[in-house]
Amino acid sequence: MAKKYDFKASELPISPMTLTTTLENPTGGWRSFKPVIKNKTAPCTATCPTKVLIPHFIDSLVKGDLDMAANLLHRNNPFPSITGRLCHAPCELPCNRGKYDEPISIKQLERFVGDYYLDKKGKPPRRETGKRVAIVGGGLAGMAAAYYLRSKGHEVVIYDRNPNLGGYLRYYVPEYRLPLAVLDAEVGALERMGVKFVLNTEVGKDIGFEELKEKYDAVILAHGSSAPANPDFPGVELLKSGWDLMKEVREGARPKVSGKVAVLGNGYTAFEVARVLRRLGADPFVIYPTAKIRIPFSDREIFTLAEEEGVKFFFAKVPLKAERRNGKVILTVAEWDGKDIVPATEREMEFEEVFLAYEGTADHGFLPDTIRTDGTLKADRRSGETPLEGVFVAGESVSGPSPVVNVIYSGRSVAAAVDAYLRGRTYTPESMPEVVGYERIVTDYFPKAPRVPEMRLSPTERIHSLTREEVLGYTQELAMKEAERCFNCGFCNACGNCYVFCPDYTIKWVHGRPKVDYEYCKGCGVCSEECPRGVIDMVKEREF
Amino acid sequence: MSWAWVEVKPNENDLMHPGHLACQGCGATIAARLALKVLGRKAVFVIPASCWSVIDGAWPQHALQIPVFHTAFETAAIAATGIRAALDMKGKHDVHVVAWAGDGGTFDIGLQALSGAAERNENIIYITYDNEAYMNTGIQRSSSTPLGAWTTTTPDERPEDKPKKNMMEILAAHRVPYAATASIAYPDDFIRKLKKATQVKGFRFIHLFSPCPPGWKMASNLSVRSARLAVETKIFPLYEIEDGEVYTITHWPKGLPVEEYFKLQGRFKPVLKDPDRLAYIQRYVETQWEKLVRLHEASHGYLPEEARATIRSAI
Repeated sequence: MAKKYDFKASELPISPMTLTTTLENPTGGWRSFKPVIKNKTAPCTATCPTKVLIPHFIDSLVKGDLDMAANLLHRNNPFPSITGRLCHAPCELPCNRGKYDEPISIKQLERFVGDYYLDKKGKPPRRETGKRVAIVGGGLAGMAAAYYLRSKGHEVVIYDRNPNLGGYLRYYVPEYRLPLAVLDAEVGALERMGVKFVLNTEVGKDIGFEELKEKYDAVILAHGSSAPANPDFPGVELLKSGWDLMKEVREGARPKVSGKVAVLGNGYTAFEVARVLRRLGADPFVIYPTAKIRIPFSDREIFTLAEEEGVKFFFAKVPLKAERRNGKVILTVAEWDGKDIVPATEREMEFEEVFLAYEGTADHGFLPDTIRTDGTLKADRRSGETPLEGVFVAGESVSGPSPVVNVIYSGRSVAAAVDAYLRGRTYTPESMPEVVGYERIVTDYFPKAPRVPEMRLSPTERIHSLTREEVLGYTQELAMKEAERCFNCGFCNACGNCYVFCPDYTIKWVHGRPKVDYEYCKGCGVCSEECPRGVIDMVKEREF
Repeated sequence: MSWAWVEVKPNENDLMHPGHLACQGCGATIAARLALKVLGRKAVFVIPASCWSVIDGAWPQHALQIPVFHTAFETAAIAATGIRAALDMKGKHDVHVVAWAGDGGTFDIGLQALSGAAERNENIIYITYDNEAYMNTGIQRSSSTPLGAWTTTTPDERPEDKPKKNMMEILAAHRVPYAATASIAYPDDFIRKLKKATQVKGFRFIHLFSPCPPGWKMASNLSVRSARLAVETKIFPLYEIEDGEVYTITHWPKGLPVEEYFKLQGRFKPVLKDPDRLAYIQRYVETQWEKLVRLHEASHGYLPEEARATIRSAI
């Protein structure tokens, strides 16, 4: 028999009123797709050889946390002040903002943050591992490798034959492009970190390679590509060395050069020598082996600067013969089609002086034959491992002349490989999550704004000084203005769109970050659609 | 850019519970969440028959953390008036009474009560979340359904041929102290207007554009985007009218072609197939916009720089 209900009217609510909340409905069961908040790779980071975390550091810059920005920047690039001046900025080419209005001036932002942090960096590592690493060559690759190995706690000793570190950057790159003060500060930071330098010591002459191998747990060869590699043609010995000219000028000498001069070269050094000559008062002509459109992207910037300053060019020409007549140099040149000399195009040109500025090549003379085959080093491109255990190769000594950022990446990746070797682990190259394309950017949230131009000297101002820096970069105000233009592709900067537009209030705001409450999320996808930077993906929940 | 919103603050007055019964991507729930962020706990909602009667949950559940009074279809304004009077009698003058009605309960069925309350200048806030049809009962046409739209009562062969009723003009004719249009895609603009409304005494009206993914035949994730495009194509301009006379356009749209907005929605399929009708709607939108710009100019004596571009495209 059913139990008889026995209640009084006064025990019931006076009207149909709320007794509980909708929290009793776990509406997450309605969902077919679920939102997943996951950072991705921005196209700039994906293109950067050393994978600088560009959206991350720009976001910290916008939030005004310059130290955090510097830390994020230094994670993958130890010398932003150097790359901020010398890098050819491949990151700016695929910038998603470039498809909307103009790309972000990443290089100048990097330089601004790098310069801000220049005197602050260089903390010794927290823990010492007791392992010892020798680095042969204190150029950019060696310095980068030293930075990362030292920050991992290894004892690092750099051997360099010169009286100071920096290599090509210290002894050849002119003051107007990279002030010595910047380089000194970077070296000072390494010193503060506890990297030891053995200077004026040439490996192979003052100390043997085998001895190094005995004394250290690992050896990194970063001796660069500084051996002259001039082409062989009759009369080449009559010509002057552009490298020597750059070195003299860097050291403060101002040799007298005037009139029509020629620069023979095949890369960055040729353009730079021509610009130095322009500043010394000469009228330089660069004789360049390829057509204008074939100048590599990494040399485009310096080519444009040289052209603005009035340097003249002969493209697709190679020298055949040089001779001296009446104190002038007569150079015979011919057209070059990329493979061969075009017949019957020989032509004589008269110059006051001709400078050789060919890119260098690596000299592996001091190394044992076991790791050389026909004069070239056998090494893995990324990890730098050689057939000899514990010997690694970094930088231009294995890759040949390369842009600064590639050299830094080489130093960084080899440092990671050495670190793995010293700890007895296997080296795995870093992987990147998927790249965010322009179609994922909701441009409605970004008002159009032109790129903030950096301060730079005009070409006429530039050619009057060999010491004044040509690009002056951003002030803090300009840097902030430019940083605010960044889309921060694939990097959640906590803009709050997902939280504001969630129709179910299932995206909660926890410690300044969005967090999805999957118990109630109905999977409508508004957050994914409204995320301005493609951070939120809709992932299929179940199969039907 | 970090936190992108000026008026919306995180974790402040989040007075709506999840688990409510709205469809995926519902614009009306975004609207209620944003409104409660301004109103806070000192508010009463009066909800006539509408989607929100369902969204709020079946008895005994309740999705909002403020009192809600469910009432009959035609009585939103008058029930709110009554609650206002009762609260005033009790001395609770700081509580906002909000009539929260759909477009059917405002444009059609509730119009006489609304007109009465507006004419008497009752001290209530009337917010209509406009999803452009009777969505809750099965997508029947209302007088808010726009030109060219499909509903179950205006099928594809014979889509809506009358323009949307201009509710703002009706309210302006009542000379209410404050009337404004807003869109869920512009939370800062909406919150600014609602804040302004709470500071005014008398009858305040907000016409809030809130998409309905199932009723508009579109994917639920496009809800906010379609609301944004409605504004940027000048179909739903954002403006406010003070004292029935001072017109202010608060967002100057980009002036995109109307197809951009129609393309997202299945309900405009018959229009997209008919170029003549599309051109007619585009012309209609342009003339309406131009009229509004002229009213703005008459109220303020000048037009800002952004306005020029939108007008040139009108001619």
